[in-house]
Amino acid sequence: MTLDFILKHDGVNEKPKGAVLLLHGLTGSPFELKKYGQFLYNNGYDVFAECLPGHGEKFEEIYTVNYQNWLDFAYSRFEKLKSEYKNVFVSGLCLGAVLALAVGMKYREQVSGIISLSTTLYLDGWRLPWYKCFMPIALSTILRFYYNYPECEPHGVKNLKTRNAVKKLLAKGDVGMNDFPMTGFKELLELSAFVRNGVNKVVSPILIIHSKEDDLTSTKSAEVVYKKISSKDKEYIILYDSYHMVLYDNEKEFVFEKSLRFLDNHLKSETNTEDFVCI
Amino acid sequence: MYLKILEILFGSLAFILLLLMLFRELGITKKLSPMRASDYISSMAGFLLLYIVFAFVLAIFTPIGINKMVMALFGISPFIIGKLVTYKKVRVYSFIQILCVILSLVYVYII
Repeated sequence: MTLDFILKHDGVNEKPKGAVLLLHGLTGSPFELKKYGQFLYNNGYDVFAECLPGHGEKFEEIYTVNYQNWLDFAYSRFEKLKSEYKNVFVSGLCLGAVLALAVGMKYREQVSGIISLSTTLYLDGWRLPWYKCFMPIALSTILRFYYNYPECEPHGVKNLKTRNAVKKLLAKGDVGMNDFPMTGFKELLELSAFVRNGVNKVVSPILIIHSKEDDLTSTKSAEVVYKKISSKDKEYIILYDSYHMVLYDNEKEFVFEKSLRFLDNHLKSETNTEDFVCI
Repeated sequence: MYLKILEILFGSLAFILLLLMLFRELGITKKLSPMRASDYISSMAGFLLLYIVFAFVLAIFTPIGINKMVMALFGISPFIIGKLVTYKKVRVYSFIQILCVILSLVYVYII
C-alpha cells in the first residue's frame, strides 16, 4: 500500500499559489502529513509528499539507507518542483524538518520558505530512556543492528484520543513503523550534524514550530536553528500543549493556520521585475 | 597486583559480554517483550562500553609492548567491526565480534 500523495490543482480552473514539498519523520510515512497537506491544498497550494528512502513497504529497507540517500531524495524532489513552480516551499516534521533545512542550505534563495516542525537536531527529549547515555556506543558498534527502540507511550501525542488512534494505527503497521531502528537514529544524527554545521547557509524565510514538551527532542534543536540561520525573515513559535507530533496534537489547527499564513505572506509575485519592459 | 585485579575485572566483563552475545544469537531477545529486549541490548551496550574501557586500561598498564598493542586492538575491535558491518552481513560480523571477545579472554588468562 502506497502512502504517497500528490494533491494538485488542475491549473486551468484553479491555479495553485505554489508548491509545498512535505517531508515526513523518521520511521513515519506521508500519512502523518495527510491532514496538513489536505489543509494546504484546500487553501490553494499543490502539495507533494512521498515516502523517504528506507520507509517503504519492507521494514528491512531502513537498515540499508544512509542519510545521503535522504538528502538526494529531498534535493531531487525540490529540483523537480522548482522546474515547474515559481514558489516552492519545503516543510517537514522531525527528520523531515532537518531535510527541509538541508534543502534550504543547498538551494538558498531558490527556496520560497521553510516550515520546520519539531526539528530533530538532538535526541534529548524527555521520553528517551535513562540508558540513552549508551547510545553513542550502540550506534558506533554492531549493536545498532541488534536494537530497535520500541514505539511507546505517549507516541509523541499529548491528546489522549488521538494517541489511542495512533496506537491502533501503529499496531496495524500500515502507516509507519512500530520501532525506531538504531541504524535510523545513527543516520538521523549524522544528518543532524551535517545540518548543524551548515545551517548558517539558510537564507530563505523560515517558520520554526516546536513544542515545549516535545518528548523526542527538546526546544534546544529549534533554538540552535533559530540562532544560527542567516535568514532575516525568521519566526520561532513555541507550543505549550503538544508533544512531538504537532500536526496531530492539541494545537494542530494553530499550526495549520500559522503555516498557511506564513506561506501566503511569502509568495513571490508570478512576474519577475526583469520581465517588465520600460516604455 | 593491580594488573592482576585489572585482568580479573576485564575477564569477568568479557565473560558476561560473551554470554549476553551468545544468548542473543540463540534468540533470547525474540522471546522477550520489546521493552525487555530493549533493556537486554542496553545492558549489552553497558558491558561493551566497560569492556572497551578496561581493554584500554590494561593496554596502558601492562608492561610488555606487544601486550599493549594487542589489548588496544581488542579495545578498538568493536568500533572496527561497527564500521564494517552491513545489514546483509550482520551475522558474519556478530560471529567475528564474539570471536574477538573469546580471543581477548584467552589472551588475558592464558597467554
